[in-house]
Amino acid sequence: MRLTKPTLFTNLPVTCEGRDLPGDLFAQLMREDPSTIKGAETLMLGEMLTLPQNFGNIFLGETFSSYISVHNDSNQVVKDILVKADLQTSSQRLNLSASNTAVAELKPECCIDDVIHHEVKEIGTHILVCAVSYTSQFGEKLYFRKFFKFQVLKPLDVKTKFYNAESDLSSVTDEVFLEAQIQNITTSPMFMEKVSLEPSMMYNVTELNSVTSRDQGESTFGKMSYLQPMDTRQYLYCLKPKTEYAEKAGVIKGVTVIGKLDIVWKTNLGERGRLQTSQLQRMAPGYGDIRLSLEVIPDTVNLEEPFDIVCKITNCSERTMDLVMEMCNMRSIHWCGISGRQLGKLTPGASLLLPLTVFSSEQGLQVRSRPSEATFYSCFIGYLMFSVICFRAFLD
Amino acid sequence: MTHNKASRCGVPLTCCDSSPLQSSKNWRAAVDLTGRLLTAHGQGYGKAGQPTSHTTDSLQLWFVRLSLLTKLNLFQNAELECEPFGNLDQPDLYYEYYPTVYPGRRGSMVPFSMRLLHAELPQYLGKPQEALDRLYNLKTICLAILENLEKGLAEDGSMITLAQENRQASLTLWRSRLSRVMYSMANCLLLMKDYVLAVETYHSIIQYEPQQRVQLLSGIGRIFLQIGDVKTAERYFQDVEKAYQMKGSNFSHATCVLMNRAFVYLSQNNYADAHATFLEVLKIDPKNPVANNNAAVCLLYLGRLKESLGQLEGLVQQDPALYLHESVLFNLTTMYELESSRSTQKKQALLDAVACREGDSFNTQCLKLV
Repeated sequence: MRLTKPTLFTNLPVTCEGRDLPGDLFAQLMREDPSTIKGAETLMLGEMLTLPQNFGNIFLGETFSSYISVHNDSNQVVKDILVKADLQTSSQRLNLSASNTAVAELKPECCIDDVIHHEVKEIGTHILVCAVSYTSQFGEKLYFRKFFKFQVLKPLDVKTKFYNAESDLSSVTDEVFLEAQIQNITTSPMFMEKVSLEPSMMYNVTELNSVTSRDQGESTFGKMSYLQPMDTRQYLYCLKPKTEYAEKAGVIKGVTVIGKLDIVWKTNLGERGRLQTSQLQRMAPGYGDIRLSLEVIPDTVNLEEPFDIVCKITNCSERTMDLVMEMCNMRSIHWCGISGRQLGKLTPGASLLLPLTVFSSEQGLQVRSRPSEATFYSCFIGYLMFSVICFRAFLD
Repeated sequence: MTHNKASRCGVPLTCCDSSPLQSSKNWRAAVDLTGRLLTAHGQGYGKAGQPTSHTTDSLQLWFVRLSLLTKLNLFQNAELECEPFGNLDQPDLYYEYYPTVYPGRRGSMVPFSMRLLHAELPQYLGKPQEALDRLYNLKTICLAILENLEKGLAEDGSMITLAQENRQASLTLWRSRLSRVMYSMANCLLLMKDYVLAVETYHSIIQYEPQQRVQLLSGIGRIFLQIGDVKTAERYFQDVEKAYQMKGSNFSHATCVLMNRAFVYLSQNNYADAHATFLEVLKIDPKNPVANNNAAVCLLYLGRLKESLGQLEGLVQQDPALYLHESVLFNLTTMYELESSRSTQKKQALLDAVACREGDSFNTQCLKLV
């Protein structure tokens, strides 16, 4: 018999007042009922424990507990009983029983009991195989097996999204925000005890799912500490590359391993489940060989008044670059300076700060982008103002 | 004896008539009796739609009938019979409609308990939102009446002055009605699995029923255990311990504190300590049926089936009046099925035991004979 946690018995209170026809009868019946709460008989949720009535559902990450009982139904003594419990999945066969020694004898009406626990790590069909071998009174060696099949279902649907923050104008390193959407696809409410991100070697993680106020940490989910069936929650984490890794390549590129999510949940009376995702991967945004970022730019500027900006050009390739800057005016944005200037050589991983002067001839928010051409690199910059700087790079 | 009384029309009913049937839990027979008595009043089977003449007695009969149907879990029947009454505010349910029978009396003839039952009924028929709406309506009325009373007016807001003890009695009555309605609301929310609101509602009852603080806080703790939030449950149980320590040693509170502790052990998979804690409850209160049942349940989780069965069977034999209860029998039959494939015989024996003690209302489903 599967040993899920017991459930609490609930009552259906039917009451009346003293002046009504039944008088004190209903109240008396409720007081005498052993399953009501004494002193608060109208409280529905009692304290009587009821054993599980059916197998129920079992989900990946939960613990399968079962009572295994071998009962001597006959009126003869049976000897040398060996009970073995195995769990057969699609990929493996596990031995679950604690003892491997045979019981010497089993008298009539007696039983051999065992409680087995197994943390379920696979989805799909599982078969509990109980094999009993014994010797009858007459010396005959007998053997029988019983099979109990059950399905393990998926409890959670996890979706992840990465957000890149290029907001930090002062540092080289980029922050990555991970949004994990977790949906409860079981049929009962789940209490999310712990959802944490274990970062890979390259990152430090800050979790953004609790608010500390007056020394007490409070979850961002407030009073809803549990997930109803089909509800989804979003967890947010901020990952910063560790300094040693950030400086190494100038910028992290390609496919990087971010870390994995560790989820622990509880259901009825503390029934526990635990899942870890596989390593989450992120495709770093393609900067190509050269990365251009805006370091300093004013929030608002006056029309037709020149203002200063500072750009940072980082060499993200493996080769030294010889940079030439050409300024291309747009309809609303005009450069002040010398075009066609040599910027000098830039080694791999190094960066160069470039002060420039610009002015705008049109009011409003300026947003520009221009598709890149074969030998030109164009970049998309910053929040409030965009301009396109075209330059040719001569490579060694 | 009761048949003769039924054949006399218009006999003012006292509770003696139907209580022998009720106290022996022969509710089906009692329901039939109410049917006959109502027919004697000119209402009842086949009389829907005819001009009515309600009296306070006939309404009490209706209330008893409907509440027994609810106790028998015959919710659809109860709903059908409730329908002709509408929302219990039709003119012919007021005293003013019968000036010759009740000269000078004002107000509704419908017993409050009947209004409550009528409000609760939809939740058992899969319409909990409707039940909540009706219950909220009742709550608003109770609050309005209490406000009137506290302002020095009569219940309906009129400027009639009440004598001091009448006012006090009325205040007590309506406060208890308010908390009863709130219990119904919280139970309904629990049925709907809206745990956040259910907990809030149970919490708000404490100010009206401070003597039930320990039970309410423990109940809320158990709700959190059901969700799986063991930490919050422990916080509530700690509040219970504090309340218990402040009040001094109250016998029932001590058992409450121990029970809560046992449930926490259960939630931590610590069945051994849970079992030991239930035994401690039995040291204080040896006849406590919940502790006895729960201790036996823990034994099963510890792999001690025979012991568990022995304990439960012993309890049933010693005190059948107390232990021939649905929950205990569920546990017994489940364990019989685990023990052996020849469990039918033992279950049959239970049925025999039940048949000679319980009335006709016993829910034999718990014996799992089918």
